[in-house]
Amino acid sequence: MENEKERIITPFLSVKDLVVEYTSEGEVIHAVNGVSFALQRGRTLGLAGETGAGKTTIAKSILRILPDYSATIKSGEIMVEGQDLLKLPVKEMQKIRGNKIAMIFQDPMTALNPVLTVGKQIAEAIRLHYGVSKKEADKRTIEMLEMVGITGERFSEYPHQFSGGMKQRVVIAMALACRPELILADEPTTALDVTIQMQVLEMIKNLRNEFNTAMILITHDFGIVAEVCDDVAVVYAGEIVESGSKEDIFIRPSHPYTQGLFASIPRIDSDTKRLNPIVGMPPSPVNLPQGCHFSPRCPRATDECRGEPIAMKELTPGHFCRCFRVE
Amino acid sequence: MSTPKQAKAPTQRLKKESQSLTTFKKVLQNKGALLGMIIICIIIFCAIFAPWLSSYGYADIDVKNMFAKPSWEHPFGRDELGRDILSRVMYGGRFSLQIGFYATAIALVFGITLGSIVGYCGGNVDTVIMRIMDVIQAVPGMLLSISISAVLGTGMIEMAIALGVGNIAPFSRILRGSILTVRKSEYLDAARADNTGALRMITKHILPNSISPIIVQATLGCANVILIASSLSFIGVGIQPPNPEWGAMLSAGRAYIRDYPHMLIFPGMAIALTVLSLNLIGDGLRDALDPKLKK
Amino acid sequence: MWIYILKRLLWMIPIILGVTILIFTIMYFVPGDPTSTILGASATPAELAAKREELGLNDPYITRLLNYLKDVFLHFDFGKSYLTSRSISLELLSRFPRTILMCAACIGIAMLIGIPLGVNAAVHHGGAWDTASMVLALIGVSMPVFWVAMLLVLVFSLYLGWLPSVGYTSIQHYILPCIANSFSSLAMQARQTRSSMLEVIRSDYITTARAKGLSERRVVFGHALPNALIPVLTIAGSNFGKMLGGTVVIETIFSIPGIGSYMISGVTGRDYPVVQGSVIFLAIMFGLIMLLVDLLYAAVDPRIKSQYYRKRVKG
Repeated sequence: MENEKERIITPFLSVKDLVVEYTSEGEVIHAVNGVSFALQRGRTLGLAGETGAGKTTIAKSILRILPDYSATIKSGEIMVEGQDLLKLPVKEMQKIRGNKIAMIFQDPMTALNPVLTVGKQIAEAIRLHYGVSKKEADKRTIEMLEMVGITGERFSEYPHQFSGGMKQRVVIAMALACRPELILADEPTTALDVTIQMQVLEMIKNLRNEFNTAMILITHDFGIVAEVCDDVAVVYAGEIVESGSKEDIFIRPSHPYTQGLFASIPRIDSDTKRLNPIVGMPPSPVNLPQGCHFSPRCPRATDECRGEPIAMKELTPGHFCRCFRVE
Repeated sequence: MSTPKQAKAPTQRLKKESQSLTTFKKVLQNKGALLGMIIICIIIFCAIFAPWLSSYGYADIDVKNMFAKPSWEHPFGRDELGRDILSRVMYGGRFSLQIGFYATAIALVFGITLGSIVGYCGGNVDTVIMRIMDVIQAVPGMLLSISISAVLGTGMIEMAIALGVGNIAPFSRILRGSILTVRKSEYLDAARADNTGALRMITKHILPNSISPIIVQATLGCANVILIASSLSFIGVGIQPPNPEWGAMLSAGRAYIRDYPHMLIFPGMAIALTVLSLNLIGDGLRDALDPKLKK
Repeated sequence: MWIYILKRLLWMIPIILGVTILIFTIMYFVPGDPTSTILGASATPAELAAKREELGLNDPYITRLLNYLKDVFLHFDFGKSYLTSRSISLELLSRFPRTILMCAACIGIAMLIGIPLGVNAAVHHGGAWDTASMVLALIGVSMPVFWVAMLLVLVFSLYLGWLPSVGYTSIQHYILPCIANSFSSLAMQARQTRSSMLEVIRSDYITTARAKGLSERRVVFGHALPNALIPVLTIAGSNFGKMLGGTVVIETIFSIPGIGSYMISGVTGRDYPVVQGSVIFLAIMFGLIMLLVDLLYAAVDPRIKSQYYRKRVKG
């Protein structure tokens, strides 16, 4: 009985104090600075924030596909079903990639190998993880293609023969081919035409529901967060500044940054004359400000904010905020 | 009215200075390029100051001591006529370096001119001239140089022409490409709106765009010219004995390879070091000037 | 696909014609009167004049050019040697197999050793192997081919006695020449492969391949290498041109009776039709090889292949 309860409570994915650095031309870039979050089975977490906040780095760290010539995971834990991914040998990690955890990349134009057919690129993942024959893998690939709305005949076509939106569908098919338990979707619709974006988003939603996959959706668009996510974590300068359920964040945004983000979205129902951006620029990851990273731009900042690093405060159960000046 | 104009000029000049200075610094940081620059400076120095550096003339024949092995007085040994090989190697640098310089200069001047004409005129002129360039480039460099040498004969200027002609095409393509890029880009419309004249266009937009590939091509092209020049001398088409050209020296030494290998080693090493140093510098320049390349 | 082949062929023809015209025009200006070479010192002025008329040397440039083009392309006749009065075409044909086989062997060596070296250097980027092989490659590219040849002869033929230095009858005779000629191309191929691989390995689709859980070996050889080879193939074509230049020198050093040594004998003997014929012949050979490279290129890169299939409506 106790074990059953534990299994229900223990999240599928649990990231603790993740720190990731890049080195470039002698400078150290602090991309991720102590990020922690958890994700239950079947739930979708939105990692929201501006470009360069470190969201993609977090996702790539989970799969450990950061460029090893410049990036280092300095510390932290990434627990998946009791295993710390960061401590696994590479061979074990390779069994998980594409299989238990898969990634959908941002730019479909460059995510596919131009000299291999799309069918082959999908089938090789299936063959690798399921060990089935070529014929069987091809069959499943065609099924997968049809599921994303591409006719099976296009199996032996090359990526350049597909439009941007179709390419992204191929990428999605490739990610879902082995029925992963967790999908990392890195701004999957940002690079697409606005008209296609909704289609692809709908498709992702439907597939997620059908396979009951957990998902981390990286985006800078709160509209997408509202459509697709259950929980939200707002990322700023390599830290999570606020996290909670979708309702918590949308109805009661508490961190000054989150509030600033919502305030900057012009409303369609009111007569907006000027835009309301957040003052200033995100800090350089080489030279992060002391204490709260948002303090230089925060209207409520005090000296206390600029001293020690700020800890997360639980406002209501499940709703966390990295600020003690919450109103 | 005059103050704003004055204020503009110094900052522009400052920006350009720091750009070439930073590039130069970047190249110096490249250890290979630094080594290359040191080597080529030594070679140039020896070539220029050979009469003072060598204790023997390059034509001083001493038949009694022919084929002498390397020793303290003659660090590179003596050749088949008793001449001091070290002196001959130092003097030989004059030929290779001059041919390299002149050939590259010819290729540069004609290439840039041709490329500019083609880029400016476009249309049929472009098609015809570029096709001619294609034909010239379709003949392997060595073969083209042999043919031209057959007509012109031996001699430094003749060789420079024979080698320079084959290198015109790359430069013309660089210029042409740069002009076409500037033409297509919005640069042009912005500049026109600014009332910039054609000369300004060239100096401010086209030249900066093409300077880096031109410098890289000139350095690497010079290395290639020196290599082919020595090959031509070796087979009897280029500079001939008794001139102490390195390729010619190797050709003469070939007959004595079995008994007196020292005649082969030093001139060959001189060619290799010269070409190597230019390749190192060219590579360093290319790495420093290519924005895409990051460690 | 056939349209592509046809297009490339149509492109080649004017180039080959152009090359022939170019070389003919250059050699047209060679000074001196060849008739005395042909007939010897004892010929009378009348005989010389008659010979000049017979060879058409008094005709205007255009006539001579058109006659030459007609001879070369319609009758495959490159004329007669000034010194031996024998058919140049026959000589070229008899020497051709030797030269082409040697060049093929050299290209083979250059690619079989150079490409793996380059791949290895790229995969171990920044490591000792990378630095060492690139330094060696740079040195290799800087060494003149005739010097390499003579050093090889010095070591392997004269000191060690393993391989012969002169002759052309057995396979052993070809080992040193082929190594010497492929040295520089090998080095260039290694450098080119390395830089090509380095660029490809940073591409997004390589990250995608890793994210699928493929082994690093699969990523490098199945995903990266096919992409990296495309520019390498292009370079292989121009490498071949440099190799043809090297062949001329190598055949001279090792006394191998190929087209290269034939050309040199023409140069030293002032036998200009021989020089002209050999250069044009080799240039045409080079052109055809470039054509082959273009076709290979199309076979390897699907983006080119599919341009010429029925265009599917992009959906």
